[in-house]
Amino acid sequence: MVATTVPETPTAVPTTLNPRRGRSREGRLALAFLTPNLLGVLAFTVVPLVAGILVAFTKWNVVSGIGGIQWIGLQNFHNLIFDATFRKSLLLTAFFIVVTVPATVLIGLGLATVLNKPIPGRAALRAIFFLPYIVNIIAVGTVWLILFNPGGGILNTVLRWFGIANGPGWLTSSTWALPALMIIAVWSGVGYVAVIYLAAMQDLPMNLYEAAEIDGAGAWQRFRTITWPSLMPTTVFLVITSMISTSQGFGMIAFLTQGGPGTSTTTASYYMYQNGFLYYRFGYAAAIGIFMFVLVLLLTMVSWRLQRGRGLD
Amino acid sequence: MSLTTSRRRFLAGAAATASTAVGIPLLAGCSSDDKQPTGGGGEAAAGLVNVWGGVPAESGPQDLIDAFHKAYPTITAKYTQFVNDPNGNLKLDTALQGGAGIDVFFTYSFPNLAKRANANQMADLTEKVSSDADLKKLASKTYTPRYDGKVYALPTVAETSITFVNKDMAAAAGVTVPDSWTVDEFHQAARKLTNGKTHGSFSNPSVAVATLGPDAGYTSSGQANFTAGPWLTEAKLASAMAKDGSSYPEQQVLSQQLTAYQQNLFLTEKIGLWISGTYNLRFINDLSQYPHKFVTTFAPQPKPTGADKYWNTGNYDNFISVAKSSENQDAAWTFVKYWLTTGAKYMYKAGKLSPLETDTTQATELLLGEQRDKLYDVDAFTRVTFDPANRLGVPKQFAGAPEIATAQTSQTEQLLLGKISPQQWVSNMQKAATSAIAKDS
Repeated sequence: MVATTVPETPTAVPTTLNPRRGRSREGRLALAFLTPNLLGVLAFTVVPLVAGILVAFTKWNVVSGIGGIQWIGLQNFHNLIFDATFRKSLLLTAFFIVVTVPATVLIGLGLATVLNKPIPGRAALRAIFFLPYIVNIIAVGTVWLILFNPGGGILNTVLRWFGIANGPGWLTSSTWALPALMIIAVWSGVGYVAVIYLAAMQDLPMNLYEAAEIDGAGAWQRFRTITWPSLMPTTVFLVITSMISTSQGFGMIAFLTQGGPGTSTTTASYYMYQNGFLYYRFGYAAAIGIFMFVLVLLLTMVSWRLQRGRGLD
Repeated sequence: MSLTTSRRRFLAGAAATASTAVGIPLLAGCSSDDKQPTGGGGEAAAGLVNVWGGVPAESGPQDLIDAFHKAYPTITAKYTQFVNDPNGNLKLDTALQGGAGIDVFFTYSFPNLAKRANANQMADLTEKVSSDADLKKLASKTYTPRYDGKVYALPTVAETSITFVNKDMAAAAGVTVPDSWTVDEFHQAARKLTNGKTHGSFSNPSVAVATLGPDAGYTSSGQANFTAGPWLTEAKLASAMAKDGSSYPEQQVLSQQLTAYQQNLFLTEKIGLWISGTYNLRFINDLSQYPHKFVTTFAPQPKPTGADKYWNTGNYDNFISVAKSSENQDAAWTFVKYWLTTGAKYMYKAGKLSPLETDTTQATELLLGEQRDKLYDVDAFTRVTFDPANRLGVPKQFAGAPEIATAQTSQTEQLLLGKISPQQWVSNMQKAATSAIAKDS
């Protein structure tokens, strides 16, 4: 009989911690760190959002206090549908978005493509093009106010060199005021878009480019079949965020045109401001806000749907 | 003793700090450490009076408060300026709502006055004013609007509309500054003052408010009134003056945002006539910011052609109130009364003429400043500003007023740019006003 020995099996080192209790303790710790921020988000985002939704169903001028709130149900939304000024403001907002967002994204993409090449002074150029995005909005508006002066402004002066004696009235013209604001919006946003695209371009699949070059693909083909699909997630992000920020655009209008001349630059966000802070119709203003929120949400979902399957698999 | 801390103690301290940081904004404005206990009975009670006004402290309020402290050493007045624009007024309204300890405050627009009175923000001053020999006059409806038959605010200023005239430009253009003139005569004078370098006037004179009164935009039943004849007459006058260049080009007003800086045009001699109020005297007096050599003379507001009696488009304004929530009502009322009576002269350097002023000589000296003989035709100022025939009004109807005012600005821009005709102005205004009034009903 051969004596057998049962090999010692290593036993687990005994611990004093129950793994489940450890995970729950880590969870509580995480919650403790998150709580201050959560309280802030609750107090300054969630509560005002819910309050804003409720106010949209009331007639209230704020001055009368909580006791002055009158519940009127869907009356504000009903009035919105028949409000000609609101309908016009929606059209202006839509026009603003449809022109400004693609222009900003496409010009930003082109700029990023150029700035991604090994050109001299590339770092300085990237900083210069990003500057408009971070400069104070009032400073930007003041400079453009001077540039857009129909008499002595540089834009019309240059147009006169090219034989256009009576240039546009720009911010003083109900025809040209909105295009002028679009020019400012594109100029301000292009640098930001370029920086985001530049970051995305660092992750482009270089092996695909090499393979495409070997196969004889030209620059446009490489862009169309590799660059553009690879950048699709970034493009979707930029289109959606630009659409949201453009629909909320208010500062430049408030500073430069106050919705005029006439109502030519009274976009939905500025009309909402007028109703709330000038006319003291906070319920109506909140209803405009809810309407715009739902509209932009729908547009975002549509954009998201449309881009599916267009990326580089 | 160990200087290290356990993880638990560190987390407890961090959470406490963060909670306090979140809590501070929530607690701000709930109470004021400045409030002192109110004094005993009697009109000149002791204590702190917090005053909110739109005029910068250095333009008069601080001098007034310094003098008040000497007269009433048991009461301390603390002045806070708010910017008199939509954001500044909202800041005042939310401060009143939030119990920020305001005792006295000012209101500079009639729609805001109506809103605050109806929202129960103001103490009822009816009895105090009616029984006060010095202030009784202000309680009449000529000076003060009433809400539910009560007085909640009193005007501190008579903002008479007058015409500032560049005397040197007028003489050079052969324009005689009259003692009285119609809007058509004003237009002719403005045309004479217009050449390649200057324009006659900043804007057209009023016809509608001058004819129909302070509630010109409303019928007696509270409906929109822009189809009334004087509105069309005024729109035609505005359009004519824009076309012949006798009013300053609207394109330049918009491109340089000159509406808030009209004094620049008058004081750099780009316009010769300027219909405005005494509150703009402070710019003419300020030779360091606005150096100029010409003499400013004065003419009355032009009257509608064919009218014997007409309204001055100025108002009794800059209303002062005691906050309903003030815990120091007696001291607050003492301060209000001081501002309206003895203290009124300190506001003259801001061009704020008191509606109770009887000493026109002193008022003229204070309003026009020390260099008045060099800068002004003093006799003309006294004659025009203190003319007993000046008929100032108090609007009583405010339904949709802010929206109507916005519509009026935007439609007038279009009219002056030549985009719409006077008839279209009238029709657009009638539609806009009808819609605005309906929304507020």
